[in-house]
Amino acid sequence: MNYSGCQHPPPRPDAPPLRVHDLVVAHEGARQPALHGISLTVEKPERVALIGPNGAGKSTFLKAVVHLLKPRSGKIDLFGHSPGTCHHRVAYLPQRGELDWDFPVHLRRMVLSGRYVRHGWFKRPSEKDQQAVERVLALLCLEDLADRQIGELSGGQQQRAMLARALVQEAEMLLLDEPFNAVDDHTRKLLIKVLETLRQEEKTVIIATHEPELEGLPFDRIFPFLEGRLVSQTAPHRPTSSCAHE
Amino acid sequence: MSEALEIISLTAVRRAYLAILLVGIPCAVMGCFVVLRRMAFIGDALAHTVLPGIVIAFLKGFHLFFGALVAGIITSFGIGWLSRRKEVREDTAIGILFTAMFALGILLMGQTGSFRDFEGILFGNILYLDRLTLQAMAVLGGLSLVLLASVFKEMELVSYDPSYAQTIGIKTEKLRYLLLLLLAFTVVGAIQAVGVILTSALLITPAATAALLTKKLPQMILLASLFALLGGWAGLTFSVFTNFPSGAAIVLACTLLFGLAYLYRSVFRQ
Repeated sequence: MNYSGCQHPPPRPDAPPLRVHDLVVAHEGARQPALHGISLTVEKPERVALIGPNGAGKSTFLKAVVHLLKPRSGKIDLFGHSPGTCHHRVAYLPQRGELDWDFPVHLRRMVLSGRYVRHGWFKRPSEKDQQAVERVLALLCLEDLADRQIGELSGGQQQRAMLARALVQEAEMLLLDEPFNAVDDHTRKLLIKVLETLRQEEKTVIIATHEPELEGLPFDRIFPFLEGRLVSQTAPHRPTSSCAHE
Repeated sequence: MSEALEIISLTAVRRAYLAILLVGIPCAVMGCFVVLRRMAFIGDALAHTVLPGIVIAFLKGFHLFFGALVAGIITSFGIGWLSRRKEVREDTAIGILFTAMFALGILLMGQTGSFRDFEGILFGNILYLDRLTLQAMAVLGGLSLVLLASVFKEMELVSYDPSYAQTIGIKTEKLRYLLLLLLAFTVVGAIQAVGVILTSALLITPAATAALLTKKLPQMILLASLFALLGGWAGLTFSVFTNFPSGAAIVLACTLLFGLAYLYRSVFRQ
């Protein structure tokens, strides 16, 4: 039984992975919205960046897309459906501080939780799931750390662990919140390699980052956020793209 | 051999050992989640808040167990409901309901004219358990374990990464209510063994002991269960042979195991 309680619907034909229209989001208890009327569309298989300083609304935007925050108004469509119906198609990498790293769970099991969405309630992960986990651990050079408690990993390793969980989900769209934040050189290079692999696999990737230089990583489009608003849109590699509503 | 052992029948002693098994394991398993989710206060609170249910059952002539169960369920859902939004934090909700329900219990106890009738429930009466209580302990403990096992992977994930769990569609709020309900079942069972005042120790101490020795949840659950049985049976044996109050003996035996684990960790793991 799926966590949403219903069958996962197939993507609607011609629907983009993400379409957001006039989105307004406020944090719980806050009067002022954190996002004001955001409209944008991300096509398959684009790689886009949400850039802006801390507090600009990038993370809030990603949280609204994955249904962690309820919009005050506006509409979000994922593959032509409302966000609550296609959890398995979207993988989310939160910021590192949002997880209890002291919890007694080891890396392999944490990564395995990325497969839960494919099974839902009462079903245990299969041998195939375990194999998928091992593949991703190897891809991110984490095999030797698989039996470590997650709190015993370094910052960069923890970042890779969360990315491993997002990858093992085999989602069609990945939302990565500050994946390059405070990581070592090795992890940074691995992340870039993984992003290139995802591009070859035609996955849609949205990255929130406050790093202006973007580490030389090519993006199809860049959405600059400032004070909860989408300022403008730049398209470094495809200037003629006109996917955004704004 | 003490006078006490001569007075207490062998059946009662056997029942007491069985009761430790029936409440010790569910307490230890649930206790792991309580300790890891930093909800230690809730065990104490749930144990105290069942008091009005017990007194009402006494006044109406029902079995005290069912009064405790109803009050426990009401409290667990009350805590969940009151803290469902961020205006009232969970520990604040527990603090409010804990004191209010306990005060109501004391008020109702005043109506009975005798506090002595409730001595067993306040301090535990493991050597005087009837068959029905033992059966109820088995049903509640078994039900708690089966329900927890059926959602184990989700409960584990929600406990360390609730945001991610939510993004894959797990209703974290519903799991929190379920955990509170299972805790109510467990606590009500444990009250019969060690009493209202000492129940939280049975929930927290074995789990906290296990947490000192392992960094894997399945091992922690196994170790906590082992410590609960060891502490429970050791305390009970001591109580039977010395006439020492059984609830206190069990809790002190569990605390001794915690002390030894703490010492072991301090000496060998640093």
